[in-house]
Amino acid sequence: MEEKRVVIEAKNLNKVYGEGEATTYALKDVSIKVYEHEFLVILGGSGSGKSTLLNMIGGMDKVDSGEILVNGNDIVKFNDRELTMYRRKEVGFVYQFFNLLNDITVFQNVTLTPGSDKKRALKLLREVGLLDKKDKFPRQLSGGQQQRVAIARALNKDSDILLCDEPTGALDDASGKAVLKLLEGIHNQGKTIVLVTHTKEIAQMADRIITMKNAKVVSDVINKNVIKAEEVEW
Amino acid sequence: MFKTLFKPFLKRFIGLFFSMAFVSMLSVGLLVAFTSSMTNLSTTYRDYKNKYGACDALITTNVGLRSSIEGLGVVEGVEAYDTRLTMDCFLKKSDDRTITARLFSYDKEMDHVFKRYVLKSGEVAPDKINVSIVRKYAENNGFNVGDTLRIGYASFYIPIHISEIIETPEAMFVRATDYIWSDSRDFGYIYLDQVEIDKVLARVVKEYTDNPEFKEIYEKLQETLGIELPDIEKLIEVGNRYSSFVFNQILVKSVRKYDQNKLMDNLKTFLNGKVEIKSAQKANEQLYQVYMSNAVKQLRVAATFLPAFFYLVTMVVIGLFLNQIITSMTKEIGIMMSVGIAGKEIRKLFFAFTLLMTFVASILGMGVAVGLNIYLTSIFRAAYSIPTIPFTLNPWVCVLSALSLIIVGQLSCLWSTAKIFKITPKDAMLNNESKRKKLPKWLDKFIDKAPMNIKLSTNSIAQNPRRFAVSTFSIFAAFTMIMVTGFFHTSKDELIGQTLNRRWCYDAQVYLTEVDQTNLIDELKKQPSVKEVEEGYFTYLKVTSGGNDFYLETLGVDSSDGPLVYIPDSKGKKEMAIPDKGIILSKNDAERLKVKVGETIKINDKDIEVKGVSEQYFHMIQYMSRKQMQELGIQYATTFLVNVENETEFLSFLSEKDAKCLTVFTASLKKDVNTVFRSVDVFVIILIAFALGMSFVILNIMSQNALMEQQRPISVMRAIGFRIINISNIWTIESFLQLLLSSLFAIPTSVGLSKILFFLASSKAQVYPFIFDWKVVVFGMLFVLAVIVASHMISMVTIRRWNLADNTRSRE
Ligand SMILES: Nc1ncnc2c1ncn2[C@@H]1O[C@H](COP(=O)(O)OP(=O)(O)O)[C@@H](O)[C@H]1O
Ligand SMILES: [Mg+2]
Repeated sequence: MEEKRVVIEAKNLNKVYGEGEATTYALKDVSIKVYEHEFLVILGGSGSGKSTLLNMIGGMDKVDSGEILVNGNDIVKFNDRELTMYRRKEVGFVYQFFNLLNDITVFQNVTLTPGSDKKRALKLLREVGLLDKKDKFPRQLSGGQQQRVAIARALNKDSDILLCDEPTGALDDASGKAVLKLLEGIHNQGKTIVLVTHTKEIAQMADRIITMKNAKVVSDVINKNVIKAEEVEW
Repeated sequence: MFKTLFKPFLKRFIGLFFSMAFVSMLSVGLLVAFTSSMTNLSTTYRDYKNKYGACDALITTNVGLRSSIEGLGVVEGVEAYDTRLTMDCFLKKSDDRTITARLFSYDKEMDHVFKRYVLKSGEVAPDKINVSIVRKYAENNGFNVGDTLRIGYASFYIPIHISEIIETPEAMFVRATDYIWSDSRDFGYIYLDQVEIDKVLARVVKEYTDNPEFKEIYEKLQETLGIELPDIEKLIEVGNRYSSFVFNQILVKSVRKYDQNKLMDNLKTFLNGKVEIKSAQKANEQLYQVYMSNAVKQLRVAATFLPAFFYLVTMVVIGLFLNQIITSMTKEIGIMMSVGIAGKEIRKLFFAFTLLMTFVASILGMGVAVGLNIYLTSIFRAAYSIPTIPFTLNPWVCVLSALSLIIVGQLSCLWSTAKIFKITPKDAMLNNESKRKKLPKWLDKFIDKAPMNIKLSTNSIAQNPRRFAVSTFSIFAAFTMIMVTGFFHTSKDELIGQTLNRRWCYDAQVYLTEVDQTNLIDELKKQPSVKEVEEGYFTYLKVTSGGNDFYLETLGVDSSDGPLVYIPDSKGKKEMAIPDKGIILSKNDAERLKVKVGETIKINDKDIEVKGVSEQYFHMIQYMSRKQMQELGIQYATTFLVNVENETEFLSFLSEKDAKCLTVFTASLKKDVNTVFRSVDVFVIILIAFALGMSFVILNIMSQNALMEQQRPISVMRAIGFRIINISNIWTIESFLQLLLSSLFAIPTSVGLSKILFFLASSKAQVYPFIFDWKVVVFGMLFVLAVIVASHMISMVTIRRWNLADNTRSRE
């Protein structure tokens, strides 16, 4: 297999929460690489440190030690302003619980990111099948629809990387599958996707699977049996 | 981004927006109204005094010829002067009641110092005696332009025609004049043109020469009561156009900033040998000037400190409200940050919100200010007799107040929104149900065993201590406001007690005009309409000190421990006893005579020791024992003080007995001075109302917030059958705590603040004493309690309207 370009490289990440008795290790010497255009799944049980890792990569939180190189820059060394610009330009983030702002419309949510493109927002809304709902408020939408809006929001920037933390976690099967199909399509258009999940079946969609346990990476394997979103059953 | 978010943000917090705007509006309104009316008053007073009678020296003399003081105008320090003739007389009202008046002549050609401010004018009737009458006098007695009154003495009265109602700065001190019969309802100033007063004097002279009875009465009045009556022999000597030639009063306007003492010395030197000076007052000895500068000073303190306090409260309130908003938006701010919106950008929302709020509040505040200013100004116009105070707001004050509110808002926004930078994109992952704080272990243990209500209320405080702090602070602020104003009221009472009520502790003083009326007094004592009587020897004593002669109004009474005589000490506070021998001088006269306690003065060629000095503020009286007076040759009672059960019965008794006397009631004097003192009290009422309004709004918003936070558990409680009254106990505990905490801070704060304010408002002549009054505390607490209860009632109504099914359903 030819050598792919590394877009994100995390080296020796450590993160500890709490003090004294309540100390929890969320990340222990974690190192991973994300390659251009790949669909990477981070798999692990609840509390294994997946979300923490994704947050670090997304510039949402600070590590205690380690390096996170994105396109050659170490974002750990970024100041607040640079981190803000990083979140604004370099990565899109999708949460388990959608996290749309309830007081503004769907369209306004999709264009929330400063400097985001209005035309592209409309195009993305058509792609996620919600163009007709653009002037509705999030609470008027179903969970699956809300998640698709959140994905549109995450894509509505110049970034090539999409980070998803349990995007189907709060959805029923049918809408979960719709979201997965959407992500598959996005990946096929050439985006790099990092998806966090605790569901083994979903992981089968990935090009590569990293497994975490007790704040550590325990395996990192190429998925030889990539299945289509349509075929995922859980 | 900003455009997208601002509108929904505003819409969501519109309730808080208007609550904050209300509080801010009150602050701006108060500041603008207080400051405008205050500056309008003080500048107008200065201009008015300058234009309509700035009298820097007021000298009363015996009747002198104008020609004899020619050259007064070039005395050093004198810019201009007027002379006039003044005399006291009786005035018969249409109901036949006799009241007193002081007449002044004026010369249209020569009004350098004194000018009339004409409020209302009517026809001048050439065949009548036309007079101008001061507004207060007219209002109190129901006189109007066109009315005919009769003035005179004894059985001799002539009609006068009111052609003008006027206001003069002098009229301000009608209420504070140095005369006891300035029982102001019944005493007032009447001004007559020279031509008119000549008509009066011609009649007086004619009666005096033709009617021996009139002559006797006139002389008696002059001698016994020492009232201002022109010396008739002199008038006859001058001839027909009396008042063009004579005067007995000089009004001097000084060169700007000329030393007052030096001016007075220059004047005395000049007048020496030309006329006999009876009294001389510098500007700062004229009571109305003292009153005014005191009032202005007090108002300035009130107008500066109280709105400043409100601004401070507003600043804290805005800050805490914004903080509250940020807390409730933590998750959303996290989301915004996670999509790459900077903290600074988010902060802009709050700055804009606050800017808009303070802008709206400033505009609304101007409305409040207009109303309040009109109210205050009309009170000032009436109380201080200055008809020219404008009703307009000072535009500078408006602009500066609005600007400072906007700055205060932005500052408090700057302070409270710093918290935004503590929020990270990670907060986007917070649970939708607001994050529950863990309670400290001891508290956890404690509430574990506690009944449901205590559990909920402790939780409600612990979960959102800031909300608890805001409500407690608003109660504290209102409580402090109410107590400070209450203490001010108490202090004022004490001051009025010192200057007025305690000293004028009798209902009436009767001046006897006939020689011996011992029988009358004996009979009077038996009258059921009379409660207490104290006979006195009342006279003007000629006192010689340092080679100069002074006339001192002196009262000889037997005891000072009776209920009718109260002699304040040199500080105006405690009562002094009358010594058997010696004299108690009023502080003013002691200063005039340049004598101290222990020194002696000469009265009727006898050496009399000064036994005490008494601070009397106005209407100075010297006190002696009766025995001491007898030794000085005064042999019979010439006055008595009485407390009466029934004023009308008492008066009809006097008229039945055909008593030769003049009765002066103190009630209206007291009432009038009280009115002036109390004019500042409007502030007290306004401030209490504002404080209560403010705290009510804050408390209400806060308890609504608390309700929203506890919506789930409360609805669950309702769903399983709790009554609303049971649930409301939650706040009873909370309110009790708030009341306790706010009292703990408010009492010492208000004591400290009062002391500072009173110190600033005090002057040499009026020292505001601080008195801790429990009534004020209890009163304040009751008010605050009422506000708390009212906001609870609203909470209960809110709960009643809740839909239980909606509130207990899961959120996602
Ligand atoms: N803010 C936090 N404070 C304390 N502990 C935390 C916090 N966030 C995560 N943790 C702990 O870190 C560990 C990893 O959490 P997380 O990354 O959320 O796991 P996962 O997403 O794999 O379920 C868990 O033990 C969790 O309890
Ligand atoms: Mg997770």
